Amino acid sequence: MISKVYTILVDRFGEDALLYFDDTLNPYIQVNPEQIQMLCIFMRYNPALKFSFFFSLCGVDYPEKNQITMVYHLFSMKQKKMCVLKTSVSRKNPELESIESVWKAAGWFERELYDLLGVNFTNHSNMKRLLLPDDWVGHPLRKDYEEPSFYHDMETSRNRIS
Amino acid sequence: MKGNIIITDNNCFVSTMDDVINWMRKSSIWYLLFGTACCAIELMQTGGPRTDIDRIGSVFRSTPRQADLMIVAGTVTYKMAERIVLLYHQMAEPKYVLSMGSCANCGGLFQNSYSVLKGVDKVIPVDVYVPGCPPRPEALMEGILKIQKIMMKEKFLKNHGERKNDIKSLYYSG
Amino acid sequence: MKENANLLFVFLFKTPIEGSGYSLAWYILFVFIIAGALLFFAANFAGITSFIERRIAARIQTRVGPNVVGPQGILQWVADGIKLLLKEDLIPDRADQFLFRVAPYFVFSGLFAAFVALPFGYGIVAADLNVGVYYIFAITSLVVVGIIMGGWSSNSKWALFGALRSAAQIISYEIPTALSLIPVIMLTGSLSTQDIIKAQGGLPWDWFVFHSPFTFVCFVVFFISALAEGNRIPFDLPEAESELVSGYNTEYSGFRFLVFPMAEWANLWVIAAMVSLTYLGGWQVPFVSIETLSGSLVLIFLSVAVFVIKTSIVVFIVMQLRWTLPRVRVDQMTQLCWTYLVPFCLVAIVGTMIWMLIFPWETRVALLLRLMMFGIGFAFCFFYVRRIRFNYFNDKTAYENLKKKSPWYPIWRLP
Repeated sequence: MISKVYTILVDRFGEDALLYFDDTLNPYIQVNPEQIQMLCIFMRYNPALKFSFFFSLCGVDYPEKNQITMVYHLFSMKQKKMCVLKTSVSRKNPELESIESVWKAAGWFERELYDLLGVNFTNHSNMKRLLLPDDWVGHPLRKDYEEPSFYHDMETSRNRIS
Repeated sequence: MKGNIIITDNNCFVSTMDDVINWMRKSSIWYLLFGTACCAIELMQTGGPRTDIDRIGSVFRSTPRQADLMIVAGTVTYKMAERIVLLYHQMAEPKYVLSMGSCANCGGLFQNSYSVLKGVDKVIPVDVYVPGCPPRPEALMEGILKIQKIMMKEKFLKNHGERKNDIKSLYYSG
Repeated sequence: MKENANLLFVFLFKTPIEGSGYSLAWYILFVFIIAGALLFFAANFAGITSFIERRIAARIQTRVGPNVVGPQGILQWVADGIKLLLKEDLIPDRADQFLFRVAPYFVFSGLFAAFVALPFGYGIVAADLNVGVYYIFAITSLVVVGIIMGGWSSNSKWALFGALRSAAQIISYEIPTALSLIPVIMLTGSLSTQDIIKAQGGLPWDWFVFHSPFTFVCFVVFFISALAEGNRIPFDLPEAESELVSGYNTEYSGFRFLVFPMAEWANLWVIAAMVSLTYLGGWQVPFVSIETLSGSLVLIFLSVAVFVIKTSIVVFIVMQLRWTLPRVRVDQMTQLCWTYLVPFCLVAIVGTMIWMLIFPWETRVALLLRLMMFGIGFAFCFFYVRRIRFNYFNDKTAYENLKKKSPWYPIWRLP
């Protein structure tokens, strides 16, 4: 299944950039973060692959490994196949190339990730907060996020602070 | 209209007049048409055939200027809370707030979330809390009947426009 | 009007008015009495209609409607009105204060001035103007001035959208409304409301609806465009709740808001009365000629009753339409006006002219054709009543079935 996709990708990008893991429930391909945009363009337009549908983009915070992992779910309408890509960026200064130019829908997910995890996507057309208010401090889905006791004069805990 | 005419030294007439006025006010509670989350579905159902809220003269008004009662139906996030305060200020006096469902009462299921306000009473004064997740239409009806009771106890002619749980007292009591 | 004033003066004081020195004062007083009576009627009609409409709406939606406030809820409209009077009168901070305060009065006066030319029975009309019908159209257009004022001065985008929609709607629907009355005016030869009624007869086949297929088309067009002018539901775009918050009255509260719905419900009477007087025979009592009608007081009251019944039926149909039809879009609304109603009207005007030439009113063939048209109309009405009856009994059996099961909370008896 996904190993076929992997062989096609290895032919184009070489062995070093891609790692294939099938010991998990959902096999995935670990990608070098510098190559993510090129890889996505290739997967989108290669006639053998044609991953035309962008499922979802989510991020996982690993404080112990000091990295944030992006998980891309792609689906090919032609092959009826799903493919999972993973790429990791450093937690200190997370920066990744945007794939909004490949799939327009990815732009929304990237804004959400920026909102909640603080990953900065370069070349994105509108890198602003999506869900939270614009003046929110911090990125709440990071594991070390600490909730402030007030937001705009509204108490953030049920216990009254006197 | 159970007349409780309190005969004191000078305000016998005022008391009965208050009763009539309060009866008129309680007979047409117009609520603001807005829902913040899934409790709004129950709110719609309350206007439906089984518990017909229109029987006691309650209809929805879509603009806050004409509404008497604000039913906060559902989870209130911080982003939404600012809008709710704005809507509350836009409503004309006398105004009442009914907090519907656990989320609006105290944060409920989402109490540990970073983005959810822990109870709408943190930002606006609430008259009646209706528990439930979501409350049944009968429960909401009961809440509105409670609002009617509050209305009947008020002395409208003496001090209309001033209420005990005004928003200022909420902020400055500490 | 003047004759009535003289008659009342003689009736009250037993002296002819020419002899006494109070003629001018009496006339002015009389005008105020009439105006007060009309205002009393219009305001009470608006209030009671609001209650009845809520009951009908509830019945259509298998609810009960207001039935707690007073016996069967008939005090609901009093409670609503007094509560709105007691509410705070808000004026937005950045609104145009003067226009915002003045706008409800324009709506109010525009609507209630229309009652001056509306007849209520034989000889019972505040002013039998010789331009009656056009006076009504002209004066009800003042409503839209008030609505635009209110929408503009509120300094709110929703109010402005609502006001401009209202302007577009009323300007476009003035044309089919006026055009669809031209056949009636041609048949009558007069614009006076009383003359239009007198030209018709008491029996259905002597009404102008059934004069020819063309007048029937004109009747339908007039009904639709009158609905549109009154902002009733298939065309209530100015206050569409799902699109604009509450339309032009978004920023109004308290008594200033109360004027708008009051005018809307009073407008319902204007619409229904116009429909019934121009096409449905007005106050004409069947089998009674106008000469005998003018003689007896009982028959005059009977004519009032006939007019009120006819108007009430039209009001009821308008309400039913409101609670069954969805709202049209803006483009559909204007398209309906300009591509269907106006051409239909123009064709119908020409058709009525030719019809009048070929089949004059008095001839036997014309009577036969009118009878045939009446048959078609009667079939429509029969079908309509059958459907209502069918649905009523359907609901009743459903209710009886539900009553046998044990409900876990009470189902209210439907009216």
